[in-house]
Amino acid sequence: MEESNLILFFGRFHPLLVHLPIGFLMIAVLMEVAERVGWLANVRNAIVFALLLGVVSAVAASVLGFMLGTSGDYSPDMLDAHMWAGIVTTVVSAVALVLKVGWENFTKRQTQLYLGLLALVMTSLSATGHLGGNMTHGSDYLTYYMPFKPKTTDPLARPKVTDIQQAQLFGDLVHPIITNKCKSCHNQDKKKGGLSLSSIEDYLKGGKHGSLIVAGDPSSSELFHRVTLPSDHEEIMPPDGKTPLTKEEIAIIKFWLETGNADFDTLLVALDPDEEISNIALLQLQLGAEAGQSQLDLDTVSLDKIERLTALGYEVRELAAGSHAYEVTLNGTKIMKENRLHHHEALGLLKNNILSLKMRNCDLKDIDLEILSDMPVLQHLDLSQNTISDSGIQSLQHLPQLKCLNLYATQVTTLTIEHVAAWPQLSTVYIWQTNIDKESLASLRETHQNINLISGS
Amino acid sequence: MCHHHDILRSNSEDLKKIEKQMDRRQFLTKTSMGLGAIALGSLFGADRLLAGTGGDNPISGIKGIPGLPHHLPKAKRVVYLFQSGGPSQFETFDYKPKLTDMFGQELPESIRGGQRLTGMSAQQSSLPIAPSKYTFDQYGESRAWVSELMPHTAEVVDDLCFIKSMYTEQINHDPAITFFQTGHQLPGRPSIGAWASYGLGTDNQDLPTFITLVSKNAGGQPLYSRLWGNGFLPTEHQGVQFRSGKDPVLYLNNPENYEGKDRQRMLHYLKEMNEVQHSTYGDPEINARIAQYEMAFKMQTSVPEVTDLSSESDETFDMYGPDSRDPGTYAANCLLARRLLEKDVKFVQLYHRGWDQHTHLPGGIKNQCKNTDQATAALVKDLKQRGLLEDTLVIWGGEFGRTVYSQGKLTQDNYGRDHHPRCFTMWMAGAGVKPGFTHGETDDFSYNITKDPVHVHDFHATLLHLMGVDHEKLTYKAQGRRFRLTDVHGHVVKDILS
Ligand code: HEC
Repeated sequence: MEESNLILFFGRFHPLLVHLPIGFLMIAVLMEVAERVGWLANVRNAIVFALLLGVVSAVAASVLGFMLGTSGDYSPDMLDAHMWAGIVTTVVSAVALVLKVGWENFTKRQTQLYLGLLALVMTSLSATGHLGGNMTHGSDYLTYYMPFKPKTTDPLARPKVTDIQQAQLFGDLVHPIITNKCKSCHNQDKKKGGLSLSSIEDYLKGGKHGSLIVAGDPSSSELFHRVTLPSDHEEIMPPDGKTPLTKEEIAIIKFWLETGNADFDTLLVALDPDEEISNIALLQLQLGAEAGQSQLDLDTVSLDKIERLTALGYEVRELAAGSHAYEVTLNGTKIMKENRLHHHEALGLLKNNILSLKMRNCDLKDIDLEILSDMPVLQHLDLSQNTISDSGIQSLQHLPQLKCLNLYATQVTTLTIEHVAAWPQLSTVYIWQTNIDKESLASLRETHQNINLISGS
Repeated sequence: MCHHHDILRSNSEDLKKIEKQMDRRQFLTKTSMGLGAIALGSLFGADRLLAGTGGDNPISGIKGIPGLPHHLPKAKRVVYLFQSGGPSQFETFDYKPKLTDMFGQELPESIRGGQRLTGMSAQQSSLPIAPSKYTFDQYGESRAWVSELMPHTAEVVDDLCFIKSMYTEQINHDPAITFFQTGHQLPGRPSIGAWASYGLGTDNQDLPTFITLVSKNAGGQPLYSRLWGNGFLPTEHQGVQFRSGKDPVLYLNNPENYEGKDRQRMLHYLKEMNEVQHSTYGDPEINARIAQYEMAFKMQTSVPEVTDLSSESDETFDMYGPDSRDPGTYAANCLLARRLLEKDVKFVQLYHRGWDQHTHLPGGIKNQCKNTDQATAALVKDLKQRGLLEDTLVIWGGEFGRTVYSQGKLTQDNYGRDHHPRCFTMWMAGAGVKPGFTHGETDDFSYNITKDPVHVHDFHATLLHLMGVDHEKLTYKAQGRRFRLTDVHGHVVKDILS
């Protein structure tokens, strides 16, 4: 438990109380206007009463506001502006009240002065409220969802990395975690605990208790300490049931402090990270094996393209939700002579999204394979149990991403293997029950050691 | 029936939508090629369209819940060869050479650690160490140890990923099997296959997503259909048991003297009426019923086709062993499993009972191995040569292991072994697991785990992970709270992932 702090205790009532002067002063001004245009009569006393309440509550709110300001949680510049605006509001409304009470019958000049003061009250009231709101909600709170707003820039933001070799440990891994989980409370405008996390200087400066990071020593770094506390601890960051850091995020921060010596420029690879850290980094940067496909950046597919295929008897399955990567299967359905063209067309529509195509036992002919030659993202191709031969496979010019090719129970020969061996990613070919005999298989295995040729036993 | 149509048309927006789909179905019926008057094909096509426009997962056109798979799956299909009764790890895969010299010695108390024994051996005055009667050898490039009882499995060790450090809390058959199949020791939770069906949907709309096969050539502890049940999930996700003999699926054939010509029309109207019920009462079980009628109708053609082994070659039968020609045996079921997987059935669960050798273990286990070893290995080889092992996960294992000490009298030739939950061996092969790999270790007595323990929940988490599912995110709300297969436990065993 933090030691009790009466100043801050009362200070925290400021946000509650500020709404009173706003309401009172507002209603006083509105009644003044209403009386002057003739909508209301005999409200002089009411106006005086409302102004009085407004002034008293404004004084109280100002005092509490000053107390809250001592917490150091707010950016001094904004705090100053808010404070002065508040003081102006209070003082001017007090003067207006005195005038209203003191001068029974206004002369023309007096009226002008009085109304001018009221206008000033309204202006400074709005300014105070707005500045205060910015401090609690963040200065971009109002405009965040504004249409057509110009893009704001984070000084530490970096373009998306596409190659793990280029990834900066701090800039591409650590800071994005902080931006995501901490920045809402620790930024230029809102410095909870006196801590901002918007620039390298901020990181070095730390919060009101001093330094945030100790190079080479996570356990004495406040940054690491605060995020590894038990979840019910008073000081855990982020606080109050906000989404805590994951094990992986903590591991990255630890790695940066410990192995990376909390340096701001080091590249991840320069530190020779172990498998665990590399994997986390790959995942976080969406470059990993599992995230690999989303990195392909496949376009979305419209429903009608899929329906074209399903209408022809294909099963179309998105491999992972939201990946736009598809597995397309036509299992044992014979392709009719008459609708070959439809098949060609329909598959062509989805060619940029098919990662896996299975056409087992579909009565495929060599001529049908042409369509497959332009499949830029295809990784798995199953053509087994079809009457296809070398000439069909040779019409497949280049499948740049193909990893696995199933030719079981087809008529292909060694020529096919020689042809497909040129495809860069190919690692497995199934050739059981083809025209490749035992001897040629043995010599193929000799010459193409990077391809796993799988046959029957 | 025209009358019904009018009710349908005037009732509600939803029903009008259904009406529209019906019209489209009729259109397809008239135009579909090749399948002629039976119009079966159009029913399939129409279902796809229907699913494509109004189903849960409009993009894939195949049911399953939105948002799944969570990540790219390695395993598109699973075949789980459940060895019920608790196969002894000592006579199969967990080689313990030091025991040979300790024949008949008392199990050291330091090893047993005061563990509570079952009522079956707790009364024994002595717990004599029983080394395996059978010899072991190393095989393959992975140099995995396998006993002489498993000569065929020994040939495929380079495709297998052994987990020597499985453990469970359950020490009796029913709770232990229930735990393995449903993630909880008490009946009532959905089985693994039901979760997979619910979460991922089907890849073949003509066959059930989850199919169960129980060997006829083995007796032992009883199995209950709740082991492949749907628990609180919608009924259509339960496993469908295929039997040997004239009726692979019970009650599927048309009754005698009924030709079945108007079956489709009958089901069609029944469906409409059920839909009226559904729009009135909103009971999801009505949808399950509609789905099951449709599935049953499709199975009237698809099941006889897939269970007919006559197109299999002699070489294939030879590979699976002589039993494979006798429907309902473990070997025939393995062959059938391959045919089902080839048809993209998502989850095939085999059960082979009889591994519960409290007494006469050497003879009993020899027989068990003889009935299963060849076909098990053949399934792995067969899937591999057809290119299916790439994305099919094969799992072999029982519900717990057996004790190092003999239950009952120990002689050179004969002994028994009691249940042992603290460590046992399973293996997986295929999609996404490291081939020729061994994970975890046990002590010299295979009594305690010394490295990398894997709990049943971890096994489930890993299994779902391989299928593209985050085990913490696949939940279903029942009785006021959300349930998972892994309850509140489970860690993916990353070490075995390829
Ligand atoms: C919901 C708002 C909120 C979020 C989000 C938040 N913090 Fe804080 N933070 C606070 C408050 C309030 C304090 C001051 C009270 C205290 O010290 O506990 C504080 C204090 C700190 C301090 C101590 C500063 C000092 O010198 O006293 C550190 C360090 C810190 N936060 C780090 C973090 C990190 C790292 C994250 C992101 C993982 C984070 N915070 C997210 C509200 C937040």
